[in-house]
Formats: sequence, structure tokens, C-alpha cells
Amino acid sequence: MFRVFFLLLMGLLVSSCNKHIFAKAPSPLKKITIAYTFQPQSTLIHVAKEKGFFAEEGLEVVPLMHQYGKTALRSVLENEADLATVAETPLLFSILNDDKIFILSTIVASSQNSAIIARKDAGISKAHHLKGKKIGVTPLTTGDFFLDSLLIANGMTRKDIIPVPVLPDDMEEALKLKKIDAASTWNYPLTQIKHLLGDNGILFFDEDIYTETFNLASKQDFVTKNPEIIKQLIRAVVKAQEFVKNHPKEAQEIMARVTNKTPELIKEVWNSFSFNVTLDQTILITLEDEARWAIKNKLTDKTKVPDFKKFIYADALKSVSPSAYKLNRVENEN
Amino acid sequence: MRIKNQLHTISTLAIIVLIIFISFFILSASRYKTAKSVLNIADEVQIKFFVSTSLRDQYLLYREDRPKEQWVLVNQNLDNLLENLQALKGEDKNIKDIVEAKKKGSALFQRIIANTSLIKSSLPNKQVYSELDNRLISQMYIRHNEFFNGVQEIRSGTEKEVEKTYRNLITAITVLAVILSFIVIFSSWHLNRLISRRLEILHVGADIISQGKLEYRINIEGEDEFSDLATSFNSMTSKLQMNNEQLELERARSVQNAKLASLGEMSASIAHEINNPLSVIQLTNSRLLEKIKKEQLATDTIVHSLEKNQGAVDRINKIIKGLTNLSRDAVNEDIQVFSVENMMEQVLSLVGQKLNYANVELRVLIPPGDLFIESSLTQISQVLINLINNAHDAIANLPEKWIQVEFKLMPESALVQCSVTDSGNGIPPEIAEKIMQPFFTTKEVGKGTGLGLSISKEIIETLGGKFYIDHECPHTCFVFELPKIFNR
Ligand SMILES: Nc1ncnc2c1ncn2[C@@H]1O[C@H](COP(=O)(O)OP(=O)(O)OP(=O)(O)O)[C@@H](O)[C@H]1O
Ligand SMILES: [Mg+2]
Repeated sequence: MFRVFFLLLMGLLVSSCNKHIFAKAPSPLKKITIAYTFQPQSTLIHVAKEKGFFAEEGLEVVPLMHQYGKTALRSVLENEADLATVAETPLLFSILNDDKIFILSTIVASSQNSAIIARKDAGISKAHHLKGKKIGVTPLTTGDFFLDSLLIANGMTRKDIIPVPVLPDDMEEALKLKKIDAASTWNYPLTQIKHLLGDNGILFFDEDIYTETFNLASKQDFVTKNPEIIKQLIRAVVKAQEFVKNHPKEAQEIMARVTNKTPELIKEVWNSFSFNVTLDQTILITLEDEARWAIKNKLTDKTKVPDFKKFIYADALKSVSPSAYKLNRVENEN
Repeated sequence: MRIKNQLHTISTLAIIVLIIFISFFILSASRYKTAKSVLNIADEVQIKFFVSTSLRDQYLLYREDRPKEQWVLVNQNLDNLLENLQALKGEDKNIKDIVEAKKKGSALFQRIIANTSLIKSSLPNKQVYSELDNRLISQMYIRHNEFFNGVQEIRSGTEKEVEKTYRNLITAITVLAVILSFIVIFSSWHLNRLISRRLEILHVGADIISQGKLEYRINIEGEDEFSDLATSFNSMTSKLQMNNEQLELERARSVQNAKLASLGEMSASIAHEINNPLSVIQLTNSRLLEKIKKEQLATDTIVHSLEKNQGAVDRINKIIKGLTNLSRDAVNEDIQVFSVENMMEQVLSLVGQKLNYANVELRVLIPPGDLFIESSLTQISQVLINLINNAHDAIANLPEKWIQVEFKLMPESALVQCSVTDSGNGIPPEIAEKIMQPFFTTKEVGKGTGLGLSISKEIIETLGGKFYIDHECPHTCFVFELPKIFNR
């Protein structure tokens, strides 16, 4: 009887060895360029790259780093990169601009990432004090939309303030030099500025008014020509999602290393994000909200909210992780 | 290992297996139950949620109090259900997530309600509040979607869990059944093999011993019930062997005694036989004497009387001669060539009168020209006397009384066959086996010793012959076959 057991064991060993050998069978890595950022929203891409998940899936990722998603998307449109990580706001404007793009998946969502940081010495201690103040904002980004939403939530409109266009990385400087009284921005700059201003700073935010998303996007052309690469990419990102879920400490360490930020800062903002690779109503609802906002504020010459579903490419996600595709379960259609 | 201990081990093993599987079973069963109730609650949550969304949408459409109030009630129900869910699986990340999403969604709805009063107010910037209303509704939808997706996820996860635990239950039962039947089959096979293997040795040993080899000892190695049995068996055999030797001794002694007894019996019959001619002589003499005293006797009469006496003397002579032959005991000394006719004459001199007296017809058939045998005359005579006596006793009360003694030369000529048949109806098979045994008799006490046949059989076998009952014969027929020439 022992012998039978032994044989079985040997068989198992041999077969598992075989699997290993097959898995390691070399196949040339496919090279792709991803335009992404050092923002917390790009965590999954950093983790996938650092943990070798892209390589495991047969991809060699060439990073093309950007300050924020809007420029990352632009580099895709200008054929400098194959894919970009980008918030839904730049995607909206790209779609309104008739760019042929596909949203492949949301990779993170947050309703706590955006805020307005104001200087108290500019006489701001309540939200309605923002009236008539110079507020730094990066146009056509989430910060732009959030500013609008926060104003509305406090009974104001854009006309009540003076918007000043500032690049995200220049916000800190602009506040320091008192070029602006407040800034509508996101992490990491947001938390960094908060620490910098210390007692002089005050934060305005409202979790109920805006849910921001960060997404993987690409040109339609690239997607239809390389459906396999998209699958490999999504698979690697899903692996990263699992890793982040199961090893948050290590993921934070990776982020601290690659973004050159302090671990404390990384940890402080960490819980504001849910790193879920998914396609659900959030992206559609938010895009529609923002489209109405853009139309109303004449930020586009379009007059109709487009059908954003046409700009969503779900095949890859559906095949890699069927349960992550939730656009077929619509609560209010039930 | 003793069989008892083996059985003990096997049953312990079975009990351990049973305990392990029953605990696994209970665990799976409780998981199954939990999963089932989670599933039920999740279903209810879903239904309540649909009701709440429809009330929500009614409110959003008309901003009236009725759907709002109803929503509050349904929402309360929903919260209770979620509490139940948390009580069942509080640690579950998905449940925490949906509770969170639900809380945010409800808070947003409350905020929408609050904001509605601002929209309905006469504030100058109420336009802004209706814009906010839109944003809040979108956010609420997002939260409610999150909630709904979470519930779906819990449902499908739990469904899988239900399926898994159910499968576990089935697997547990199947594996348990397989293992238990394996244990049963293996142990019965093993025990069977063990028992039959060890039993075989006992069996063979018993066979050998039953063939009479009482000195044989069974050798079973190891220490179990079988070696115990073999030990008792062996001690039984040695006791048997001892008893047997004792018995053998006693039997030999009895046979000797019986020989003496039959000698006594024979002397009685000899005396009886001699007595007759003697009284003839006495009577003849006294008559002759009387007549001689009274009158002159004719020579004829004297001669006649003397002749009569001579006949009686001859007869006595004959008896004595037969007796001398019989008295010689040792077989070897006795071996001689003799005529069957002469032997029968001697035998008849000893039993003839008894037969006459009992009105038994005796027929003696000898092949023409007589038959000569080289063997022990005395011993064979004794066998014949025994057989004739037995026959006499057996037919004494029958209406038809005859005894036939027949000698035949067997075809190979090396054997002589003698059969003693009487007018009886044969020996009933149920006692045929027994009658050859020493001391078996059906005769009344003091009359028979029960040794006649056994001694006869022994004599014939010592003389290299066979002694048996011929059951083919319609009458009672004892047969013996002897080598014509006894080979020392
Ligand atoms: N010819 C016969 N017919 C019927 N029964 C017989 C005959 N010969 C022997 N037997 C049976 O066999 C028994 C045994 O005979 P066996 O000669 O050994 O002993 P026995 O005649 O009884 O005593 P013993 O010969 O010592 O005086 C007899 O008691 C009788 O029952
Ligand atoms: Mg007898």
C-alpha cells in the first residue's frame, strides 16, 4: 500500500515539474508603451511592472511617465504610447473631441482624492469664503470638475470665483507665492500641500458629490489590432489588484520606492482609493454627469451627451475576469 | 498479533476514521447551513433593495412625502437584514463593503431630500441646488450600484459556497463509505487469509493424527488463538497417545485372558465329547460282564461288544489328537502341511455333537481330491470352531437350521478361500462394523465374551490372510482367505 502511495506521489511530482517546464517555455515578450503617472491612481501599473506580472503575461512594458493622466492620454493620441492611465475627465473631452478611443477598464475609484486646499491667510476659513478668490485648477481635469461640484454643493457657481489655470505640479509653488488663494487638486500634491501649509491650510471636500475614476485607455485602432495584448495587459493588472489586496504593505513600499515619496505620505492617502479592476456604472454615470457639465459650461461644441458605452471595450475584461464586468447588471434597470 | 488484537486495531481504526469524518461532516454541515441562510438573507436584501429603489425613483420623480416615508421604512428593514448578514459573516470583506455602500447611498438620499427643500425654496440661487441635485443623484446611483453589485457578488459567492459545502458533504459521505468498506474488505480478506492459512496447518495436522499417527505434533509459529489451539490440540493428542498405549496393553492382556477362557470353554466341551464314548464303553463293558457271568456267550456277541468299545476308543483317540493340535499355541511351531479334509474331521469331532443335538445340518464342501495347505492347523481350526459356534448360536431359534463350510481354491491358486455360511439373514449393517471389535457381544452375560470374531480376525491376519463378512450373500456369511502356503 505504501508503494502505491509513493508511486502516486512521484506521479504528482513529475506532472507538476512538467507544468513548470511548460510554463517557463520561452516566448518572446511583446513590447508595449504605457503612458502613466506617479499618482496613487497608477498604483496597479507600478505594482504589475515591479512584480513582473506584465512579463509573466508575455509583455514588455516601456513606461512613458507623465505628471497627470490628461497628458498621458494625449501621448497615446499622438502615437507616442499604446496605452494610458487616465481619469474619466480627459477621456470625456477626448470623446467629445471625436477621438477614436476605447476605455478598457477602470483601475481605481475614489471619492476622497479631490479637494480644495485654501490658504487661511487669504481669509478663507469657510467654503463660502471662496467667493471671489483665485482658485488654481488644471483645466479639463478631474480637479476642474470637482471644483465645480464643490461650488455647487455650497450654493455657488464658477462665476463666483476666479479660476486660475495651473499645472498640478505647479500648484504648490503657486500657493506658496500667493499667486492663488486656493487650489483644486489631487494626491499626492494635495496632501503634500496640506502638510506644507500646516495651520495656514484648510481643506474643503465633499465625498457625496464626485467619484473619480482612473482608467486604462487606448486608441480603438490599437485595441482592435491587438486584442491579445489587451487581454494580457488586463490579466497582469488583475494580478496586481490581487497583490495589492493581499499585500498592501508591500504594495505601499513599491509605490514609495518608484514615486520617490515618503512611505508615510503613501500610507496616508492609501485608503482613499479602492483598487478594483472593473467596468461598472460608475464610469458611465460620471462621464454622463461631466458631459452635461461640459455642455452646459460650453467647454465643448457638442450639444448632446454621447453614448459612452460605444467607447467601452469590455471583451478583454470579460474574458479575463467575467465577474469584474458589471455593466450587464444595472440596478435601476431591474 | 493475536486475532483479537487485530480485530481491536481494525475497529479502532474504523472508529477514528468515523470520528474524523463525522467532525468534518458536522463542520461542512454547519458551513452549509450558514451559507444557505446567508443566501436566503441576500435574496431578501435584493428584493427589499428593489422595493427601496422603486420608492426612491418615485420620490425623485415627484418629490412627495409618501414614497419618502415608505422608503424610510423599507430602508430600516434593509438595515436589519444587513445586520443579520453581518452577524452571520461579519468578517466578510464584501459584506463590509456593501454595508458601507448602503450607508453612503442612504446618506446621499437623505441629502437629496434635504436639498429638495432648498430647490423648492425661494432662494435666489436655487438653480445651483437643482444642479447639485443632479450630482447627488448620480453619486447615489453610483453607491447603489456598488451596493447592488456587492450583493450580487455575495450571492454568487455564497451560491458557490453552498454548492461547495454540499459537495463536501457528499464527498465526506462517499469517502467515508469507501474507506469504511475498504477497511471491511481489507480486514475480512486479511483475516480470512490468516485464518485459512493457519487453519490449514491445524486441518492437515488433525488429518494426520486421525490416520493414527498419534506421535505427530502440530507446529504453528507465532502467538495467537491458533497457536493456542495447536497447543491444546497437541496436549490432547499426547494424552490420547498415552491412553491408546494403555488400551493396547489392556487389549493384549484381555486377548490373552480370552484365549485362556476359550480354552476353558473348549475343555468343557472336550470333557463332554469324551464323556459320551466313555459311557458307551462303560455300558458295553458292564453289559458284557453281566452276560458273561450269567451265561455262555457267543463269540459273535463278544466281538460285537468289543468292536463297539473299539469304536468308542477310536473316537476318544480322535478327540485327544484334536486337542493336542489345539493346545499348541505358537504359530510358527505349528506351521505344517495338512489336509483340509482331516482338519474338518477334527473340527467336527469337537463341534459335531453339539450341532447334532441342536438339529443343525452341517454341510462341508471341499474341492474334489482334497486341498492341502501349509499353515497353522490349530489356529485355523480354532477360527472354524469360533465361526461354527457363532453360527450355531445365531440360528438356534430359527425354523431352518443349517451351516455350510466351503473351501475353494482361488483362481490364482495361491489363495484358499473359506466361507462359513449359516441359514441366518445376514448381519444388520448397523452392527456389522462393531461385531469384529473385541468384547462386542449380543449374548447374555457369562455366555459370550465378545472376543471370538476379533481373535479369529487377528489369527487370519497374522497368517497373512483377510477376514471379512460377505454382504452380497443372502444369508450370514463369514469369509476368510489365506495364502495356500504361509510365508514366514
Ligand atoms: N453367524 C452369525 N450370525 C449372526 N450374528 C453373529 C454371527 N456371528 C457373530 N455374530 C454376532 O457377533 C457378535 C460377536 O461375536 P463373537 O464371536 O466376537 O462374540 P460372541 O460370540 O458373542 O462371544 P464368544 O465368541 O466370545 O463366545 C455376537 O454376539 C453376535 O451378535
Ligand atoms: Mg463367538
